[in-house]
This record gives sequence, C-alpha cells and structure tokens, in this order.
Amino acid sequence: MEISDLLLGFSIALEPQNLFFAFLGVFLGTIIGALPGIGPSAGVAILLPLTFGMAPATAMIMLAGIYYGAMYGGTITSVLINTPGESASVMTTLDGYQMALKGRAGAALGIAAIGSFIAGTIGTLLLMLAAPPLAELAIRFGPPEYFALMVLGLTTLASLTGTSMLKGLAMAMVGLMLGTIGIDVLLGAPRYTFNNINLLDGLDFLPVAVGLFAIGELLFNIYRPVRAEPIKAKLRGLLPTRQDWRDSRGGILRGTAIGFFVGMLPGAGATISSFLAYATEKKVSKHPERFGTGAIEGVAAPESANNAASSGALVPLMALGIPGSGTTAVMLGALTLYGMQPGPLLLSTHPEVFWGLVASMYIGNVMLLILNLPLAPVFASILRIPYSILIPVIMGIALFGVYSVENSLFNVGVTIVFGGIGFVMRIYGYPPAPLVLALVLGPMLERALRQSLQMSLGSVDIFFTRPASAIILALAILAVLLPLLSWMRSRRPSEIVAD
Amino acid sequence: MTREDFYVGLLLAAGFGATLWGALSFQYGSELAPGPGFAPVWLSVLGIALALTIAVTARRGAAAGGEAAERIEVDRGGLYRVAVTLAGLAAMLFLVTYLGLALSVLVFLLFLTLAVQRLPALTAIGASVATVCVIYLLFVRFLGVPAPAGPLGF
Repeated sequence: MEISDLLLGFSIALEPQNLFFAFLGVFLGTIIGALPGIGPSAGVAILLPLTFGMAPATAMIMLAGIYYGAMYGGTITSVLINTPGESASVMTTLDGYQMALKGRAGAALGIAAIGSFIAGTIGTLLLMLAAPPLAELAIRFGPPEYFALMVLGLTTLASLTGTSMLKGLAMAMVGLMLGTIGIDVLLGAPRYTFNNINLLDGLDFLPVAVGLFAIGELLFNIYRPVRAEPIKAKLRGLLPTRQDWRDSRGGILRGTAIGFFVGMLPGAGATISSFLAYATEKKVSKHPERFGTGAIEGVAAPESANNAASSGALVPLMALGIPGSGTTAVMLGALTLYGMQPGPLLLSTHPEVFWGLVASMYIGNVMLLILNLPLAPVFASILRIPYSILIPVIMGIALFGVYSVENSLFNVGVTIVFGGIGFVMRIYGYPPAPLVLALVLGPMLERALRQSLQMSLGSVDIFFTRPASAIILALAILAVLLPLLSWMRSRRPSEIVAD
Repeated sequence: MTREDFYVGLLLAAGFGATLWGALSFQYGSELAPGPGFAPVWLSVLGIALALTIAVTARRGAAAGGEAAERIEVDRGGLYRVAVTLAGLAAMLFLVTYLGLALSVLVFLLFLTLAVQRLPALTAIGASVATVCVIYLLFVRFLGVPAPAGPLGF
C-alpha cells in the first residue's frame, strides 16, 4: 500500500456525486437496518438497480454505505422494540432493550453510534492494510487454490447459517445446481435450458436474491404480520457519560478486533461476530451478572463487532473476488454487472474502485455518526410507520428494480417464483444466504474445478499436492466436521434416554 | 429438524433425482478432461445424499420422540393470504402486456393493500398510488428504464 493509493481514493471519494451517494447509502442503509425483516442482503439487492448508469466506484460506494449503514440501523429496532432489525443485532436486544426500559434508550443508541464509528474506522484501516497484500498473494493462486477457497466459503457459510448445518449445505447444493443452468462455461453446450432463450445465459443472481431475501421476507410478514410497538421513550442523553465510556471502551475495542477478524472469515460474518463479542465481554467482565439487565458494554461490544465485520467481509470480496456472506455475494454480482472481473487483479486494474471505496468508508462512518447522534429520534420515528404500509412500497420497488436490470419480465417471473420458495424456506428454517452465495460462486467454482482437472489430466491429487489448496480444503472439511461432531456429542445423552 | 423436514428431504431428493436424470444426457467428458455433464452429475449425486440424510435424520428424530417430533404449526389464514398474494403477482405479470408495467403494479398493489392486507381504503389507495408514482418517476423518468407502456401511455 502506498500513500498515493489512499490519496487517489480520497480524490474519488470527495467528488461531490460520490459524497452524495455515500450519504444516500448510509442514510438508506440505516432505514433498511431499522425495518424489521429487511436486512442488508435484501436492501442491497433491492437498491442495486438504482446504481446502474453510475461509475463502478460510485456504485460500490453506495452499496457499501447501505451495508454498513444497515448494521447501525438494526440497533434502533433492537433497542426500541426488542426486535432485531437484522440478525447481526440480535445480541443488542438483550441489554439495549433493558436500557430503554430503564429510560436509557438514548445512551444505548449513542454508545452504539460511537462504537460503530470507532469500529468502522479501525475496520476500514485494517481493510486497507489487509486487502492489498492478500491480493498480491492471491495473484499466485491457480484454479485449484481458487476452487478450494470457494469450497471453504460455501461450507463455512452453510454450516454457520441457520439452525441446521444439513439444511445450509442442502441450500448451497441447490444454489450450485441452479448455477449450472445455461451455456456450459468451457464447451458451450446448453444445460437445463428447456429451449428457453432466457435461460441460455444462466439464471441471473439478482432476481433470485431479491425473490429469496426480499419478496420471501415480505410474504412472511403477510403470513405473520409484525405487530411491534416502539416503547415511548424520549431519546435524551445520547452522549455517553464518563462512567458509560469507562464501561464501554474495552468492549468497543475487543468487539472491533473480534468483528474484523471473524468478518474476514468466509461465512462467519456480522452475526457470529456479534455473538462472540457479547460472549467475550461477559466473560471478561467483573460483573457478568449485569449482562441482560441493561449493561452498556453489552450494547457497545456487539454493535462494534457487527460494524467491524462489515469491513472485514470486504477483504475476501475485494482481494480474492470471493464473497463470504449473502450481502457480499450480492455485491460481487454487482461488480460483474458493472462489467468488472472480481478477483486479485481488481486492485491493480481498477484501483479507483477499491481505494475510492476505502476512502469513502472513512467518510461514510463520519456521516453515520453525524446522522445517528442528532437524528436518532427521526430514525426511531420510522418504526411508527405501520409495516403493512411499507410492504407494498418495498414490493413495488423490488419488482420494478428487478425488471429494470435487463428490462426483462422473465426476471420478474423468476423473482416471484423464488419469492414463493423463499417464503417456504423461511417457514421451514432453510437459510437463503448459502443458496445465493452458491448461485453466484457456482459458475466460477465449476470453471476452477474443470480447469484444475484439465491441468492434472483428470487426477484429483492436484487439490491435495499443492500446499495452499490442501490447507484450505482441510479447513473446509473442518468447517463441516466440527459442527457435526459437536452436534453428535450434544445428541448422545438424549439418545441414551431414548434407548 | 422437524417432522416436515422428512417431506422436504424427500422433495429435495426427487428434485436432485430429476437433475441427475437430465445431467445424464450431457457429455460427461473423458478421463483427462471433465465435460458439461461432470458437475451436474456429481452435484446431483451429492444433493440426493444430503436430501436423504435430512429425511432420515428427521424421521429418526421423530421416532426417538426428540426435537424432531415437533411440528411446525401452520396458520391457515396466513397461508391463504400468501397464496392469494402470489396469485396476484402472477396475474400482475400476465396483465403487463395489456396494461403496461406501472399500471399492472398499481393494480397489484391495490389488490394487495385492499383485499389481502385489508388496510383502510384511503390509506391503501394513497400508499399504492404514491409508491407507483415515485417508482415510475425514479426508474422510467430519472433512470430511463424503458418499461412496457399501457393504454394510458405509461
């Protein structure tokens, strides 16, 4: 990394239109995060069509703004209605809502904003330091290493998302299968196209993502309407007191470290990092009994972790072209829609995209802080809009947005079908993120697999004789085996009872 | 795992069985280089194995009276609302050819808010019309998306 790279980034991020779209991104992201049920994956997918026609750097600045803005927005809902706006804010409900009940909603939102700002800024610094050397290392990777990396991403996401690893893996398999639809990547033979011209180029990821993440979730809200009333609390005292600061600063720093490194791991992401940060904070606390009763560090640590995780998740996306979560999978798809080739060469071929994004994240985090401290009551008032009114608004934007990408009614149809499938998956606890990630990675994974086998004249030894791919594949196997072993150990006592 | 996972597992296995059947007609490749059928065949086989594991795990769990004995309670009223909404979405897609995209979306949103969600008429009409107006201005006027036009010219 050279200082000229960062200066290039700031020269791009400070352009008026990029400042505007960074602001729009964090503003919309905060609103999306605050709406229960609509998470960052759905938000980024729904709003992606708005970025067409923008320069890729501008578009990525806005999408990233939505991503990390949503991380903060989820806090508002967690604190005021005891319902996480998105999964990364689940832990915040434990102490945030208790603080609100005690009349300290302002302090909870304030420390979340400050913690998010610190974590976001340090996370961006670490992203800036970690991504370029990783990309340089990855340039030496061949198809076997890429294949192994993508397998690792899929297995960790599948085993860590949702309630059952089997369900996650099954969804990843469905996504990979859907990824084989269309003209074969190497030999040009059509597969599963049923003579339909719309399927020759494969199934677009965006209609599938919008269907599963957004329409499926909206249908679930029609099925079981959200009836959440925000508590009527005056948001006073947003700035932390000296004691609040003393209690939280350790948690913010630990949450930042945990969030960034866990966020970098494929599949782990913001949700797991916020769980780990909360658990760590409780463990190191001299008064663990305070957790769950309104401890401010119980808000500061997970909120810092989920913001830092969103920076960490951008490391594999930008340096390797491999997303580790549903949201970054949508962002990867966006890069390809802008005509870019994600991967380690992105940093050298399109430095303006990476460095513009990094610089905009410094600015965006300041915007988020400025927005959220004085405007917390305004965002909180969004929660008073009945969700039943928001459903047609979001559905209308989603349908029009999907149409606008390729001016295709077929894609609208695909969105509706996957909306129905997403609803059924939601009911039965099948996570959509592994499916979307597998759909995005599928064609790349198959290409890497077949190129590897061509290189080795059909021998699978190539994956195990090259040290990097062998290590990465071993990690992927561990990612599947560890949860399986712990599940079997936890099952044993009940089986004994049943016998 | 719940009892319903047994049926979901079987359904997935049947789906992967169908993809395997389709994949057998693709060129598998030679010993030296995999062809277009290689990935679909192996993914289908793995998919069938996973799906059957889900079905067997759910069935064994149910037989042991453990966690899998639980049933997911389905709210019939809610299911009806979702089915009607999906039917409305399908009808909207059909109507685009005759009414244009903006008008079809408006008709669907009115149907959704009035018939499915049963919002007060004024709120439903206001939310639907405002949504379509904003979306039309944003996508068609501002972003220049050539949306299919209807008899009213938009």
